[in-house]
Amino acid sequence: MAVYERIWRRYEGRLTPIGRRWSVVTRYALAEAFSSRIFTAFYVLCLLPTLIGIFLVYLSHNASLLENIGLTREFMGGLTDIFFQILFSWQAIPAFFVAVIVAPSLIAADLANNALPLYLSRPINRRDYVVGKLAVLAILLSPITWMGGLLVFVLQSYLEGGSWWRTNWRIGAAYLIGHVTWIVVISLLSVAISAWVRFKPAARGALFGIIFILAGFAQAVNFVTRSSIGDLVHLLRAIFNVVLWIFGQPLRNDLPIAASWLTLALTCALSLWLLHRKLRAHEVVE
Amino acid sequence: MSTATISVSNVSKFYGEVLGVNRVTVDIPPGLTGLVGPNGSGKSTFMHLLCGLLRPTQGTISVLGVPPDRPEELFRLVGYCTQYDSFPNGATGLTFLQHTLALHGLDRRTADSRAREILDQVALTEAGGRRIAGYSKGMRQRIKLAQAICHDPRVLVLDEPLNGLDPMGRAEMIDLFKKLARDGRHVVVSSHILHEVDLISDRVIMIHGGSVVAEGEIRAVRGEITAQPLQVLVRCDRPHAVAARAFELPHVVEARIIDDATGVLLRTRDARRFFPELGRIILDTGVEVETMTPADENVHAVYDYLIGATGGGS
Amino acid sequence: MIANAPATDAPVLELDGLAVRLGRRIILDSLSASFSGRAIGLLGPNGAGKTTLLRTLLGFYPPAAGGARVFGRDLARDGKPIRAEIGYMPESDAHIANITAVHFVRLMGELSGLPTAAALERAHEALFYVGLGEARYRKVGTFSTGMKQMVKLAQALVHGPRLLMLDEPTNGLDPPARKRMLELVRDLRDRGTSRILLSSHLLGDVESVCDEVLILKAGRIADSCDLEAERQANRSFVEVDLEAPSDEFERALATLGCEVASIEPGRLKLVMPDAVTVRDLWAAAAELGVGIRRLDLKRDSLQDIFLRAMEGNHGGV
Repeated sequence: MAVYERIWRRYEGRLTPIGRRWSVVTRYALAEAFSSRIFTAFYVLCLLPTLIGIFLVYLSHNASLLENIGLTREFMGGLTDIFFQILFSWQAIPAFFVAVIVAPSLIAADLANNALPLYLSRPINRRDYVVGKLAVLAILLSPITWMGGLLVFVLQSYLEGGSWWRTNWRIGAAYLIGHVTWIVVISLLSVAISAWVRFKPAARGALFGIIFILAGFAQAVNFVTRSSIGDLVHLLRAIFNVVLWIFGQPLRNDLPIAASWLTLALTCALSLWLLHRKLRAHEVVE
Repeated sequence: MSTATISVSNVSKFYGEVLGVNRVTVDIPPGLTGLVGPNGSGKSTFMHLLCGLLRPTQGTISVLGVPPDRPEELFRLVGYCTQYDSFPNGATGLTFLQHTLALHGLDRRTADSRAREILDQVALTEAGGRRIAGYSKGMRQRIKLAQAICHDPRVLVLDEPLNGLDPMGRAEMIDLFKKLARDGRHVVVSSHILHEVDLISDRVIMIHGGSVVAEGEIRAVRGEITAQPLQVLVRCDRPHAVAARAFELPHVVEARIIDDATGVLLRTRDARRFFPELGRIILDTGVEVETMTPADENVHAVYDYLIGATGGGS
Repeated sequence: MIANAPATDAPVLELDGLAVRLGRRIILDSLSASFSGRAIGLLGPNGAGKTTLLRTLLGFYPPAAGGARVFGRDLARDGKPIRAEIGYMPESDAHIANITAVHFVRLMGELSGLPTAAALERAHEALFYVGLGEARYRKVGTFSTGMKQMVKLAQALVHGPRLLMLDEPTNGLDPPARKRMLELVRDLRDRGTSRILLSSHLLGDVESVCDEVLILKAGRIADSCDLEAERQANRSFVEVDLEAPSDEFERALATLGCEVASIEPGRLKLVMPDAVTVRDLWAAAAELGVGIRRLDLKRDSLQDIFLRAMEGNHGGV
């Protein structure tokens, strides 16, 4: 018989490695994101472009199936660059939507009630925190973008056989580099805007604005100045230009490719600066 | 309706089904009155009713003869300092007070000079020109108090006014309240720091579960709780000797050695006979006494007796 | 851990000419002190730099000059290992509203290094320990102020830190909750589970918990002392409450050689010469048939120490 005292004890067991603590942030945030059924359903929908791509690739190599549905091989013969370009955009846009939905939830919950000092009073610094949150977006966006795209590319290479992939390696490269760049840009942007505008709907609106409204603005400027100078703020055009450039195709405007890279790089830099200013353990009032 | 007191008569306030206060009757005379009770007990509701910010579901309130359905008169009489922290965007201390005074009908020049006067009174003179958003917690508390007193109300209702103030600030504000009360005003101060309530107020109102469980002068309230014998703490070098002799007295019901035998807590049913007899015990036993003090004639003890350690909801 | 392991008897906190600057203002100016007590109080007027000091120890601000050591670890070099041993309860509201209390404390526990299973176990234990057992499955956003305060304490405790930093822990708590909070802190201190660093404006709280005190004023140290030692050292005067005012009694005391001052009718303040003891007071009272209702041999309380420090010669008024 014994009476067990309920006192508060120190923890004597093993601790998880300090270098990996940021992954705790990632794990919890991912669980949080998928706790919403609507989001989970939407995410599954985002896999659709990849699946359709896979289906179309298979279809184009399957003569009997084509006959069954009354199409000829020539119709499906042009399953090259145009197809892959379209597939890229059909993956990139949903990826953007996923970022817009997830990023504000990631950050706003922590900042709304000042929980950041609680994070930072632990063996975690701001860098770990941001890396942890960005990792969530990387993990969510990768399957629906470059992983899916590369899968389609590999399938096409396999079914074409021989040295198709040697002549068309640019497609694979475009998917990898293009999507990874896109993931980096929109992850940083969405997390930074969410840290700045702490109100979730407003953050989402701001992100929409930056991508779509700025795009409209850019086109208006282009029209007025009869040049392509407006495209410097047209993020979608910038990323497509990068992809086209890797494909070896002509760009969508007459600016050098460096301009598009510059747009993307500046966006990242601005986002990092915003994060530096807005993610603090304390309020700074001048 | 007397014009010298705040008179609350059989007042209940419900928010739909949710209880605010339940059949409260109390008269508040001029002077400093402490308002004490757990969170969720109806203190805030009670204060809002006094200020005219809420109408009772039932019952009547009269603040110095003015009922709450004459708000133009009532708001002039009453100054309220809330426990929440919320200010107009971009306001500086000075403009905040100036606008408040303008709302009360003062013209620009008078409002300006009065605002500066009040800033001096709450020790915010240099900070008056800065934005409230940049104030520290203590300064925010002071500016809240300033706007409560700036229109010279006869009734002050202050909700946790010392929150966030450092010890000197607390002492200054307590002096200010005492001065305002001495000038004949009704000052009602709500606080969770019970020993300060002891220091500050002449009377206390204790609220629990939406009802007033005690009101009046603290020692008198204590005296009325006859179910609990008077407690006296004696810190000395030989508490056991004192305890043994104390038990020989018929009216002593309990002797408890406390705190690693540094003292003894005695309980007696007869206060009048107890003290002289204790004096004799001390002389006879020859103990060296460090402290001898009634242990429960304070708000804290009365609170424990009436509301208890489990008081308050979640 | 590769970083230098702390000596087991290293002082809790050592400040070595620590200076902190925010923008162009110097907030803390050459603080030097060393503390080894079980519980350290941090006092000072608003704007003295208490919160800045706590935040500097947590690594939120970099030192502009000098340094500090926590349990022997250098602040500049071993920031993360230091924070691994600290539990911080900030003064301002700090929580994540749309998750349950258990989920919140678990997250904090894992961030502090607890493995997943241990974090879950200790999160429940912590919430029970602070008195939130029944509410632990509710979302933190639905809690009252007092409960949010307790959740802050639970998240500070969950990993069993060596040093618990509490900034105004009783803020917003009603009297029973204040009592419970102070009892919890004293319990942690007495069992040696954690050392305490308590920053508060309420001198009573600090006096009931801490054995050492650091008093800041305008960014400098106004005083730093050991409360126990102070209590032993100073006996200044006696306060006596009589059942009824008695001039005879006052005269008798004066005859004995005491300085007598009457604060209110029936309340006297005496300074006794060495030859006179408390017994003599009782004897005089018994002889004259005067009832003593209260007698208090006063030593310097924290309030006196604090007020003296404020009047000291640091930076003037």
